[in-house]
Amino acid sequence: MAAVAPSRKGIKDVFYETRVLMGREYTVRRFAKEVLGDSIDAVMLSYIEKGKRFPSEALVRRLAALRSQDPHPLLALLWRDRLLHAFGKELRRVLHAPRAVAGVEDAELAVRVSQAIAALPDDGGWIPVRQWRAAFRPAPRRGTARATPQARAAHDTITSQVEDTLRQQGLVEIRAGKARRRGRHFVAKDVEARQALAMEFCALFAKGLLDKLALAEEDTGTYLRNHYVNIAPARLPEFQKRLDAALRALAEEYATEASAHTRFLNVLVTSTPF
Amino acid sequence: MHLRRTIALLAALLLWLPLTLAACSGGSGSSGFDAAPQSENAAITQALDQQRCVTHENLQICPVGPQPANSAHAPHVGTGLDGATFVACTSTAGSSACSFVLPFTPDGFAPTTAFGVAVRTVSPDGPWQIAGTALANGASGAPEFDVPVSVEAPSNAPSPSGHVQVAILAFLQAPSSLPGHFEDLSDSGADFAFVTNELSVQFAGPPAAD
Repeated sequence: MAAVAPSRKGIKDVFYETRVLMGREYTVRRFAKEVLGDSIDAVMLSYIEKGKRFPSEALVRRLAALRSQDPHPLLALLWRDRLLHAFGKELRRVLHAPRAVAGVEDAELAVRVSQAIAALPDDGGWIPVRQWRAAFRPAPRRGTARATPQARAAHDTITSQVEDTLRQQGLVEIRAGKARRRGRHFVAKDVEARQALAMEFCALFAKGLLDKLALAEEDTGTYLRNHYVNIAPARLPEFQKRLDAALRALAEEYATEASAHTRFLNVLVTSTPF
Repeated sequence: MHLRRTIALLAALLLWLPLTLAACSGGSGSSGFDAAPQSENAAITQALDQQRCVTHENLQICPVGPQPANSAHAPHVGTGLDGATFVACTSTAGSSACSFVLPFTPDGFAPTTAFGVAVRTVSPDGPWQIAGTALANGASGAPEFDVPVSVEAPSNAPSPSGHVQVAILAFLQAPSSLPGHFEDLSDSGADFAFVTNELSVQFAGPPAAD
C-alpha cells in the first residue's frame, strides 16, 4: 500500500472540504447563504477557508451539525488553531523573526522534515528517491481533484527545502536515484527552522492537551503525563541522556513502514527543572 | 499430493517473508534545538577553548581539570596533564613507539562508573586508540588511576616529536566490550570524554640500564 504523508488538518480545511464535497455548484457565496443560512457573509467565509480568520464557535457547531458529527473534535481543532496563532505571534517577537508567516503553516517545514527522516529506514537501507519524496510531499486538500499549479509550486519548494536542509545537516545521502539516512536527529539552526520547529512543538503539545481536556471521552491515542522527581543538578545530563536513549530505542523498535494503515506518532518530550 | 501442497505452502511462505520484512523496515527520528557543534572536533575545540562541557551526539565532552565553569557539582577528571602542552615520552628500545604513564583522578562519579583512556595523533588527526587498562589506586571513595599510554612515533617526522591528544572516557554503565580504535569519541559508547590539549610529544631515549 503506498505511503501517504499524514495531514495536519486545520479548521479552515474542514470548512473548505465540507463545501467542496457538496459539489462544484456550491460557491462560497451560495454555501454561506443557503447552507450556513446567511449566518456568515461570503467574504468572511472565504477568509475562514484561507485561514485568515477564525470561525466563531457557534459557526463551528453549525458546521458539525451539517456534517452530522459531534462538534467537539471540530471545536478542538479551532481551539488548537487559535492557540497556535497566539503562540506564533509571541514567537516572532522572541525570535525577532523578520517576516510575518501565516498561522499554522509556520510549522510546515519542521513537519515535513520529521516525515522525511522517518520515511528513511532506520537500518540505513536505500529506497528509491521517488518513494521517499512521496512520503513527505504534502497531499492536495481533500475535495480537490488535484493540486493547483500554485499549490504544486509551493509543494515543490517545500520538498526542495526539506531535501536541502537534510543534506546540509548530513542526515540524508542521495545517489543514483536512491536515498538513505545518514543520521536521525535534526537540529533547527537558522531563524526560519527554529520558528518552524517551535510551531510544530507547540502544535503537538496543543493537540495533546486538547485531546485530554476537550476530547476526554474519545480514544484519541494521545498519552499525556507528567513524571516529577527531586534530583541533584549534577545528575541532570545523565538523566536526560538516558531518557533520550530509552525513547530512541522504543521508537526504533516500533518503527514500521508508513502506509495507509499506520499513524505518524509524535512523542514530544520536555524535561525541565524548576 | 500432501508433499506437493507442503512445498507450495513453503514456497508461498518464502515469498511472503521478504515482503513482510521489507514492510517492517520503517524509520524514526528526532528533532530539537540543541546548540551542538556540527563536528566532534569542533566540540572538542569548543570545550577546551571555553573550559566547559559541550554535548555532542549524546557524549559530554569536557576539558580535563577542575570543575567546568558551567557545571557546578558536575563530575570532572584531574590528570597530571591539566593545562599541559607537552608530554615526555620514553622510547622503547628497538621500537618506533614510546610510552608515558597517565595518572588521573575522577571526582563526582557513581562508584560503578568505568573508565578508559584513548589517545590519538593530531595534525593530521588519526583514529582514537584505546590505551592500556586503567589500574585503580587510592581508596574506593577517592579512586586514582595510572594508565600506560603508548604512542607510535610518526615515521616521516623530521625530528623526534609529534602531537597527540588524550581522552579519559567515563562509562556510567561498564561496557561489555570496547573497540580497540574508533574515528570519533562518540563511537566508543562513553557517556563523558575528558580531553587534554593537543600535546607535543617529547621523545626521550630508553632508560639507561643499571
